[in-house]
Amino acid sequence: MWKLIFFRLLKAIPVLFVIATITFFMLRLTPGGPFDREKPIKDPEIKKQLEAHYGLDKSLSSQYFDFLGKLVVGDLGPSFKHSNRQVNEVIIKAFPVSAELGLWSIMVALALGLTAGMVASVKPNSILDYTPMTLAMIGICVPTFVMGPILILIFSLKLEWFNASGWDQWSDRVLPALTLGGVYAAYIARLTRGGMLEVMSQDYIRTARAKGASEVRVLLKHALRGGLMPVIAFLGPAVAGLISGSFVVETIFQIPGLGRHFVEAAFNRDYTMVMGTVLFFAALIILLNLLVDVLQIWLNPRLRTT
Amino acid sequence: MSYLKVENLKTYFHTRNGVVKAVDDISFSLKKGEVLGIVGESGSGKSVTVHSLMGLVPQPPGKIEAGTAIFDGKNLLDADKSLLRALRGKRIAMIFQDPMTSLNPYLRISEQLIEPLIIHEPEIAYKDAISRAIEMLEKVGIDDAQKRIHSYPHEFSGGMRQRVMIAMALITEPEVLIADEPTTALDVTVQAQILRLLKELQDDLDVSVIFITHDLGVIAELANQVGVMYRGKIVEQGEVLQIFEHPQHPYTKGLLACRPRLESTFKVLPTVSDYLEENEVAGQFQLSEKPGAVDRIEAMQRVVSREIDESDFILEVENLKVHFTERRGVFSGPESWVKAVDGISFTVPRGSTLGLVGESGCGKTTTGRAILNLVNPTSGMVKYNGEEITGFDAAAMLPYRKQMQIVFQDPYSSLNPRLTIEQALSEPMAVHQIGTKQDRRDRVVSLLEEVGLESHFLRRYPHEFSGGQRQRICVARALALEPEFIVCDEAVSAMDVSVQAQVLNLLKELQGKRSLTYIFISHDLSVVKFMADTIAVMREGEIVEQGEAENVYANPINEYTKNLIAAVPRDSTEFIRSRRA
Repeated sequence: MWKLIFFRLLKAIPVLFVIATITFFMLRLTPGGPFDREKPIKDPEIKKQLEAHYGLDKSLSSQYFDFLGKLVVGDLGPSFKHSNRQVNEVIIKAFPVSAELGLWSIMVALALGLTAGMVASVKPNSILDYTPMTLAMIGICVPTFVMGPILILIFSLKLEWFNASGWDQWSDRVLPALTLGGVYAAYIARLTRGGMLEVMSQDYIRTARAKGASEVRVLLKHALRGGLMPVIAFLGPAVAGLISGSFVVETIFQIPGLGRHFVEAAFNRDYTMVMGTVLFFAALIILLNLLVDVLQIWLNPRLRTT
Repeated sequence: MSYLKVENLKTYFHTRNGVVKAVDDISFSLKKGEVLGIVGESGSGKSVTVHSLMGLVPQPPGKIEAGTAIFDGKNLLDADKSLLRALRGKRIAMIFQDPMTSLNPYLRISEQLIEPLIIHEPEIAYKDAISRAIEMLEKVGIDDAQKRIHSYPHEFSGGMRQRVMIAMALITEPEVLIADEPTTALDVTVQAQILRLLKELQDDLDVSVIFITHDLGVIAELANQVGVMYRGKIVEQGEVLQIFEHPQHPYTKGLLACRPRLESTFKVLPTVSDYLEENEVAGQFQLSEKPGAVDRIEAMQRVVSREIDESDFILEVENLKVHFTERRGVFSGPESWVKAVDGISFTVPRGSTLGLVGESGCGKTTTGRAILNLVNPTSGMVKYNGEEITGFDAAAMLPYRKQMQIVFQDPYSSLNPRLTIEQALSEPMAVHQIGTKQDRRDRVVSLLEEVGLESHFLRRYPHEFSGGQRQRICVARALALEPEFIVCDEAVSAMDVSVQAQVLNLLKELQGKRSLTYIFISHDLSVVKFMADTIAVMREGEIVEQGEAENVYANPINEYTKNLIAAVPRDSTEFIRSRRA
């Protein structure tokens, strides 16, 4: 197991290197630069000085190697947009906010999704199946930028239970988590239902019934673990997507998370900021997928020996 | 004193295509300490019968329409769910066909073994449950039970898993054991061990057994009473010796005759349809005896014997080795080798059949694949028609693929479920750019006819066919390129004996017509002996004995060959008489 983790981490290095290289050159290929604003800097001298300050006057290849050299020691450089701030600082400040939103959302998603999926799988093609599955389908189809405002309309403007935006108190977490978690809950519900139905048709479920096991025992002791395998496989990318922040939800609810920095940086050609967030997300996704693989091996004895 | 008395049981399935009368008015009884064998082919309703008793029929679509099943004064068929649960696994236990899928892969053996105790004797201490489980494992012949009880199912072989299933069923000391095809998925050698074990335990624990199988040979080893099922009905029942000595119903006669026997010299196997005439009258099947079966079968044996030139080899294999590496690290070299095939040599004369026989894991399948370059041989030489083809890559093999074909074991998974029969059969011709589309369709039609299927099956998909029909389709696919050499890899092992007989006859008939050369691979010596001119017995990657088929059977030299011969179920009346005495 430790060997597997070690080698997977080792393999992550070239992956990150390739991502860094592609992003670097694609950014430079996109027209415009960090100092081309709507109101252009009039004085060419000032622009030149700015460019010299950030090293943009050097040749592309030496910029690339400078960047790689700093990357190795973990320095992502200064932000072009937020003057006097390092990309590292921005990420360290904004990431916990996004991560917290993500964690609440994944909890919402798991609680709603697993319950709905299990209920649906107990009696397939009955009302107990159709109702949660229809809700799940709607959840998948309605985009967050529609769901968010609807929730705000109902729960903050009409009922006045929660604030419409902000990230200050406990209750501010509820609506964003529901909006973001809702979509994932729908996917998880469908995966759970499928996984459980598949497992319930296995021979070993019949064996358990032949032993005289009650349906509850069959479900919890024999079916659950195998039935949740597809959900666990989905959790890697899902958690990565959730805790790396959602630009849409963070914008709707005015949350100071990383997702907003990411998108804004791309619009502003904030080269270092884009590089920093891309690499950070990439590393996060690799790490979470590794975590999910480890979890799957740990849960499935057939994979454990290899 | 009967223990379990079933009367007029009817279980129907209400499907979209109408009502399927899976079990249609059957009655039988099981006496204390007795083994009742229920024999029948797939779809005859034998499994549905016992599932009905245990409340395991999925409802809907299934429905128990009528009948009673009295066990200990209670009718199982209208008992409420909690009463059935209390009986299941406690007083009536079950073992199933496929030990590979019937154990939960996520739970340790120990947890699964003690589960019936935990369910039915909730007050039992975990430690006591475990020690009873260990005791039970030792009883079913698992060495080192103390340690192995904490393993997972995948760490056990098929035969071992079936032993675990038996231990799990008997741990609560049930009065009735229902065994649903418990040996069908196993090699004959393992089957023989499991049958012996069941017989011992049955004597030892005084448990009554309902034993379900498609193979009358297996019944002969074990049963006191026999019921023969066909199309949802019990067509004949009686004492085992009487069934074997004086079968009354034509279906029983057919079933008895169609099993290949080591001592018989049949060139063509009798089939059920030689004895049984079926007529559908107003939706009801009427079964009657076809007259003159014995004469007809005798006439079938007068086939012209094939002329085989013993010096004209289509295939020569010399010192073939296939080794697989296991657990290769990223930086370290290969850590261990599995010697699947370890230096075997043989020759196959044109137009003959070489039988490769051995247990699972002996390397017989790998041998077949290495000859066709479906796996890369580690060393050695394979010559086809005098030309060396060892280790040819896909491009170099392409012209040879036309001449060398293979039929696999499992006709369920070796046909692509998303291709119609026409697509599946014309694909090999399309790959080799033979003919126009119309030509290929005509060929497919004639191929289907040749393997005994009708041409209107063209547009159907594999799931619409039975196992036997699918294997015919696989044979037709192998024939599509008009090969001269076919490897049949356990081609009939997944089949009922009655279907097996038909497919074996088909393969022999095709061999005569097209002068084909076969390598016929099987774990069952009786089947190999029926098919082959020469036999090679394989064990642990090596050939331990080879020679003329009759000779290997009549004068086996190697101990292992003798074991294989002894493993074939004994169904002679002398044997049954001596067992019952």
